[in-house]
Amino acid sequence: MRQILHIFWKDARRFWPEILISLAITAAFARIYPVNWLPHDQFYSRGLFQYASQMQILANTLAGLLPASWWLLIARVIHAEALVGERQFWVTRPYEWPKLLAAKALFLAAFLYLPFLAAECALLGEGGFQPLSYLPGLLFNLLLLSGILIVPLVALATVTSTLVRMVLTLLGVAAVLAGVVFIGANSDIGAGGVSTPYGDRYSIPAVLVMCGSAIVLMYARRKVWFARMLLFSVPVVITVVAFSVPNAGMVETAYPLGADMAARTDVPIQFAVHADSQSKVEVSGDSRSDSVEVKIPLEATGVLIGHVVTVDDVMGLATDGRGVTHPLPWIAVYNHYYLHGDWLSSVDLKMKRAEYQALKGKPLTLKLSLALSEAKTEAVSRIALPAHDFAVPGFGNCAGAHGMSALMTSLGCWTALHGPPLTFVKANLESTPCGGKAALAQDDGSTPETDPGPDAAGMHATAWVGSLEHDPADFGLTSVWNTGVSLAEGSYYQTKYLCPGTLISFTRFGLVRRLRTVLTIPNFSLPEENKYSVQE
Amino acid sequence: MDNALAIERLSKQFGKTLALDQVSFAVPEGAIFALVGANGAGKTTLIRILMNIARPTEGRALVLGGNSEDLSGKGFCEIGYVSENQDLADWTTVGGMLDYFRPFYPAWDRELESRLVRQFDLPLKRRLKHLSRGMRMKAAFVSSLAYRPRMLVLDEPLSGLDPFVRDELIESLREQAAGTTVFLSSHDLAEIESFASHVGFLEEGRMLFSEPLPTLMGRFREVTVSGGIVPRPLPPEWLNLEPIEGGFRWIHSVYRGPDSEAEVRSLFPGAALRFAPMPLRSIFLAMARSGRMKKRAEGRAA
Repeated sequence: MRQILHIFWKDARRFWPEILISLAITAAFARIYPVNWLPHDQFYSRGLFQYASQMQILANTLAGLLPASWWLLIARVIHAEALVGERQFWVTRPYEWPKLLAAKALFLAAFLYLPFLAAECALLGEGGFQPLSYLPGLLFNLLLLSGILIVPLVALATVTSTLVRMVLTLLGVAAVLAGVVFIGANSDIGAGGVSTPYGDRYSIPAVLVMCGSAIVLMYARRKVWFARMLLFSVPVVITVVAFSVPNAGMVETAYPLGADMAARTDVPIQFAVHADSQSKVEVSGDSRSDSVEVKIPLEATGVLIGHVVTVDDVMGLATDGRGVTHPLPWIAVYNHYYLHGDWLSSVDLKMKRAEYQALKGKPLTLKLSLALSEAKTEAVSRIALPAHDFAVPGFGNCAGAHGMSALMTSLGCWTALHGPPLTFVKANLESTPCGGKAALAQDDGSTPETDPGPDAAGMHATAWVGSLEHDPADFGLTSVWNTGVSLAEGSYYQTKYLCPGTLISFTRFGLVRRLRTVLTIPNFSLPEENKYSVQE
Repeated sequence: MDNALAIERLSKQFGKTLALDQVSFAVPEGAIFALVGANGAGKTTLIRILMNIARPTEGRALVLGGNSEDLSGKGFCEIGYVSENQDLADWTTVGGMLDYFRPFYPAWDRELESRLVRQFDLPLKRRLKHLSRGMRMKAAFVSSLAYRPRMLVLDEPLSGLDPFVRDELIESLREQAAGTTVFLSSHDLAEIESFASHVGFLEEGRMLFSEPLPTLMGRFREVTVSGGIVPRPLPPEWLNLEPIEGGFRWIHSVYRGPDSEAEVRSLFPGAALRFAPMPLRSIFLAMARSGRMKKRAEGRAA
């Protein structure tokens, strides 16, 4: 332990300017970053309103400088006892590698992790959250930070001898990652195109294990080329795994076929193609792209009262008159919610343009597989919009955007450590300016499944925010996440007002199950394509 | 007497270059062993293997009884290493460096440290990066002598230093020699002769000889003969034979006193003979020259 502390204090004395810079940036970040969610009335009250945009630029700049200062700190402290080379002063001194490694870890814990944790706590406090209640999430975020940033940076520092070489290596890594992202974005294979609750659970453990092994290998044996090859293989392994895990396998594992759906005693969820003058099957695509999107309007029935069903992914299997099948791969569907009653939404399938040209206008049998999540109401909070920010139990804290503009019909909300849980927000917007009359809306007591429509007090506006699945924390430099709640309703041409006193309901949903269902559409026909081109 | 160093069939290859070729020798504990050889002979490579900075391709080196490849951590508490190729803790002062290293060594002798600092006139408050080459070497010596290591490994410690600094360092080495095995590589043959107990000669990666200095000095003689005919073939122990005015001169590399003199006399009956002892520098030069000549002859034969 004495040797660990001895090396630690040497590093602390030697790198005090770098430590000071990092601490100053961390402190400034914790102090200034809240402007990103600060309610506008607080901008006013703090006399900051005229500097709001500059403050936000500064806050975001600090968010960029923070990892840069960590990188500098890591590079300097690891290179103080560089592991690459033969001339270093320390290699023929009685350094014990586990103690040297422990001293470096202690340094990072003291001057990187601890200040960052303190900044996270300060941000939570500033956001109105009790930091101690979020300790597991804060620690989980530190784990994510390690896997995504710190451990890879330490590993890179161990296989380089100077700051300049590390910069060049980082540029190389950035180029490789950009290549991987480019290949992923331009490829139909791999797990990139679907949404599953498993997400990317293997990458961070893989990075931690491989980078951690490289670090230990360097400290224990200084096997430079072996460690470099190990690090080089990290993006390769992640890419290979990402491309070798089939979307179908991931979705089908996460969403078992809903055999029990039919066995339910109540009415099972039924999907059907909805076609009328307002909604019909559409095909569209960028004229330069080799694929088109097929939009299929669907209606769902049988959703239980107080429940919501979301379509997460969809795939299709088109069979032509000769019995030849044409698979349309799994693809993620976003923001499609079906509540009790007749709800209409649509799903988009992706199809190769050549295949579309071959099948266009022909009679097809389309078998749609839908990956669904079913959730039920966990809590409903009804709050009369106060003039200041307010807490929504189980959701987060919010403030009305009133005061900025009479036309604002949104709420600014902030949540601890990740985005909010899946929540349906509903409010009565006023049709007259706030203050023009005592326009306090009356709560009609309705829940999402009883859509009351406009009434005399104003217009109902709704919004879906959040998601069903959350880890203890999502990776982020900030422990407080912003969520804008844009309340929308049918008419875009009528001025609406969100006024103090307006009653807003927050209906929070919790996951019940995930399942897969199949919908067969006979006599399906692909219509003419609506071509468009994207301006660059 | 136990060996502080035992090198067994050690080879090191860098790509196609064989830097060390089946080198074997031993250094008894308490010896001052001077490793000599021309530039590129493999001296620094050998020392790096001893210090586990490099790994051998073949063979092994036992350092204070342990395999050099296992040398790390606490093993360095008993070994001091000073090299012109080694970086110093340049970010700090001389005093800062000594303060930093002190707790690593249980046997650190503060009194000895102070004495050496005074003896070398080291400025404790000056940063190492601002010191002259000689001063840096002195600081490195203090940081490697103050814990009284069992073995001191020095790679070209005296090269490029002015005579005054050289004398100071040699003096401190002499003082430290009691109880410490010193293994050093150097070109400074005159100085080595004054304090080395053993000498090894490395040429193109091969150890040509390794023996106590008195034995070496005793078996080399410069032989001068006036008149006579040179016998053919030449005895293998005669090196660098050359004609001089009225006779010949060569180096006898296996001189055994009167026996050797009688043998030579029988080959040159009636000629005047002179067997002169040689300084280490002359032996080194003769060996180097002989090696080059042998190489040239092999080249011609090939």
